[in-house]
Amino acid sequence: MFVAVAAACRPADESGAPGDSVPAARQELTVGALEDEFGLELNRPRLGMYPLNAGICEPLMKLGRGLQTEPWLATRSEYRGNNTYRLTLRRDVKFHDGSLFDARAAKYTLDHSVRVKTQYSYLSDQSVRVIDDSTIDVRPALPNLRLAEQLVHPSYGVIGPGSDPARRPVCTGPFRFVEYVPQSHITVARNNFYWGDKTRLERLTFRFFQDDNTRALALRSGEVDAIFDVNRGMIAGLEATPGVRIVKASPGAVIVMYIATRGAEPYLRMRDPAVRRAVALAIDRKVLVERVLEGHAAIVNTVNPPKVLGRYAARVTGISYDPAESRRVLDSAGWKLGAGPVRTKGGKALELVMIMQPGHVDRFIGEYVQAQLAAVGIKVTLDQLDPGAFSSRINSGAFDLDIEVPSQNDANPAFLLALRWYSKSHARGARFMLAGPLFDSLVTASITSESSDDAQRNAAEAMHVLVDEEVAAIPLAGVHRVYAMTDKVKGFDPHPSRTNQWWNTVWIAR
Amino acid sequence: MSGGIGAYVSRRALHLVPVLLGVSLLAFGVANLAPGDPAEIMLLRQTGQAPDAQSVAHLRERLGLDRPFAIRYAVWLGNAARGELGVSYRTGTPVLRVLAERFPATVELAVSALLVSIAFAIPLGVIAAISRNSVGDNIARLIALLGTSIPSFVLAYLLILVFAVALRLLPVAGYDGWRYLVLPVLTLAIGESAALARLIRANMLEVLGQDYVRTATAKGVPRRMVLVRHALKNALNPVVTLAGIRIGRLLGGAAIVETIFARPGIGKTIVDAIHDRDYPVIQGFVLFTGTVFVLANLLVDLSYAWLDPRARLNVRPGEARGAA
Repeated sequence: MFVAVAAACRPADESGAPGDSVPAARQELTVGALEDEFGLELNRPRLGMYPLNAGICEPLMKLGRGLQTEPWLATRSEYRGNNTYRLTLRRDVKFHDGSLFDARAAKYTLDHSVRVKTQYSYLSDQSVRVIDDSTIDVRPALPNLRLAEQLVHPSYGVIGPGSDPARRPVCTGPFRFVEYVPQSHITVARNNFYWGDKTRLERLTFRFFQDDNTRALALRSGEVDAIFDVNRGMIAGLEATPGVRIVKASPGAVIVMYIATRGAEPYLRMRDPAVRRAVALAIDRKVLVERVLEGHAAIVNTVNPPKVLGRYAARVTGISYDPAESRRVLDSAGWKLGAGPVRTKGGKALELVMIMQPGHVDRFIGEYVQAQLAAVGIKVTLDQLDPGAFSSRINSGAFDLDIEVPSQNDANPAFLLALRWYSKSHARGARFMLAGPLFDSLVTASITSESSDDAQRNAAEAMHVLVDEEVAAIPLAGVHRVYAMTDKVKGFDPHPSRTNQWWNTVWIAR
Repeated sequence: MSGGIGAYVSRRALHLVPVLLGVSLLAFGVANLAPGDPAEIMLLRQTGQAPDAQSVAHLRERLGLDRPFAIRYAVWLGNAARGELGVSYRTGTPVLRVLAERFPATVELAVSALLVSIAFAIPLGVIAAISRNSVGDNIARLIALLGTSIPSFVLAYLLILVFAVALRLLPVAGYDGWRYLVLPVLTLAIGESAALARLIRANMLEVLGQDYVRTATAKGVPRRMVLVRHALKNALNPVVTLAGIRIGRLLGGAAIVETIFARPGIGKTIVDAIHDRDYPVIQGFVLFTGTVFVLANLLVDLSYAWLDPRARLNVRPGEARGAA
C-alpha cells in the first residue's frame, strides 16, 4: 500500500535568497522561452501548463527535485486495491476567481483531461468518483498502479469547473493568467490569494523565441532576464558575459542510444549480442561528458535520470570503456579486420546506420560515437532526419542505432522502459528494440507494484538487464538543465524537469 | 497596348489555371511521397509518446489518409476550387486562417525589404556605373559583393549584435511595431540590394553606350536628365523582372530571417508543416504563393508598357519584352 503524507513546501536554494540584495521596486520578470507550442491542437487545452509551465495551474501531486512524488493539492494518496487510488484534497485552496477547490473540481479536471485527450493514465470518464468534498477515488480503465507518479505531470493541472483552459485558464497556482499572444508571449501575474507562499514577482512574462541564438542575444541585450534549456554551444559565451550567470539543475534527461535488437532487413547487425556489447565497450562516455559536452553533462548508467530509481539506481552499472575488449569481442564473434578499416564476417561489412533528429540531438554527439566505433572497425553512417522521416524509420525498424534525449517529467520509474523496450508497449517502434522476456517480466512487476519502492526496485532490475546484460540501450550522458539569467534574478530554484520548473520563488534585485 | 490589355490580362489569367494545377499536383505529390505519416506525427506531438497502431489507423481514416492518392488529390482540388483548403493537421486551424494570420507579417517584411533594397540599389548601381573604375565604383562594387556574399543568418546576428546588444538602439526580436521591423528588413534588403545594384550597374553601362544616349548628350540634354530619363529608365527593365522574381522568393523563403527575429510569418510555418507532413498547409501554401508569384509576374510584364515605349506599340507584351 502506497501512502504519501503531506510535506512542507521546499524553500528556494540559498543562492540569492532575500538578504543578499535589495529587492527592486518593480518585480517583473521576462523569461526567454522556446518556440510557442500552445498553437498545436492538443496543447491548446493546456495553455500555460504544458509544455511551458507558467505557474497558473497546479497538479494534485507534485514532482520534487529528487524526481519523487510530493503531496500538493492532494495531501494524501493511498492505493486501496482493485486498481483504485484514494486522494485526499487540501481544504484551504481557492481558484483565481475566488471559488473553492474541492473534489468536484478535481473530478472536473481529470474528466476534462479525458475529453481533450491529454491524459496518459488509462483514465476514462467513469474513472473518478467523488467520495466527499475533499476525497475522490480514481480507478483507471486499465490496470495502472503508477497513477500517483503520473499525476505530477503538468498536463494534470487542476482547472476551475466550467472554465475554458484553452483561452483563460482559471486555476489555483501562484500566478494568475493575464494574456496570451500566439507566437509572441504569455503573461501571468501574482495570485494575491494563493494558499501557499505568495510569490514576490508581480508579473511574469514568457516571450517565445524560435531561435536559440536570438534567445541568448536577447538575454545579453537585457530584453529578457532569464532563459532556459540553454544550447550547450552558448554556455561559455554567456558565462563570459558580465552580469549573466549560469545555473544548472541535476540531470532530468539522458542522451540514450537506442539499439535495433530486432531491426528489419537489412538492419540486422545489432541482433548479434556480441556486436551490441562491443559497441558499448567502444564508447568512452567520460570523454563524451568532459570534453565533447564540455562538462555540462554527467556520466550516468541509467536510461532515465538516476534519481527516479531512488536508492536502487546503483543496480545499473553500465559498461565501461574498454576498446581492447571491444575488439576482442568482435574477433570472437567472427567480425575480423582485413585489409580495410571495417570488419567483415562472411563477406558482409560491419556497417551500421545511426539516425538522429537535428535540433533534438547535437550532431557532434553522433559524430563522436561514429569516430569511437570507427576505431574498433565499425563503420557508422549518420542519417539526420526531419520528424516525419525519423518516425517513419523508427516505426519500420529501418535503423541500427538511434540517439534521442527522452525527458523524465513524471515520477514513474518504468515510464521509458514500458514505452520503448517492452513487448506489450503500444509504441509501434518498440518491437524493433525488445530487450527480452526477463526484462519484460521485470517491467510488468514494476508497473504493477503497489508501492513506489517496489516499482523503483523492479525498474532498476529491468534497467540492469536492459543496459548491462542485453545491451539493448546505451546511456551516453545525463543532461543537466541549463538556465542562464542576469545577476538581478534571485531565489531561482532549478528543477531537473523543465516542464516542472516553477518560478514563484524568484525575485528581482535592484 | 491599352486596347489589348484586357484581352492580355484575361489570357494570362487563363494561363494561371494550368500553372497552378501543375504546381498543386507537384506539391501534393512531393508532400505525399515524403517518408513519414502525418497521423503518427500528430499523435506523437499530442501525447509526447509513440502512438499505438490502432490510434494511428483511426486517425488516418479520420483524415482521409487511407484513401488512394488520386482520390485524395481530386477531393482536395474540388474543395480548393470552392475556396476550402482544409484544416491543418498540426493545429486544427483552417488553412485559409493560417494563411490569413501568417501572411501579413511576411508580406510586411518582404515588401519593405524589396522597397528598401531598391532604394539602396538604384543610387549604388548608378554611382558605380557613371564613375566606372573609379574609387566610388570600386567601393560600390565591394559593398555589393559583400552584401551578396554574406549569408542572411550571419548578417542577422551581426545586426543584432551591433544595434541591439552593443548599441541597444533596436529590439533583438519580436513583432510589435516598426522598431521590430528594422533589423529583419535590413537583413533581407542588404543581400537583395547588392544583387540589384550589380544588375543596375551592368545595365546602366550598356545603356550609356547606346546611340540614343550619345544623341541626347550631343543635343545638349542636361546630364541628369540623360541619366534619369534615358539611361536609368531603360536600365530598369531587367530590374523589374528581377524584382518580380525576388518578391515571390521573399514571400516563400524568408523562413530563416523570420525564425531568427521571432516573426510570426509564413516562412517558419511552412517549414514546420513540411517537417510534420501537414499536407493541407503545404498544399495551401504552395497554391497561394504560386498564385501570388504568377500575379506578381503579370504585374511585371504590364509594367514594361510604362518603362518601354516600344512595348506600348505591341499588342503582345511578350514580344515587346523581347524587343526591349
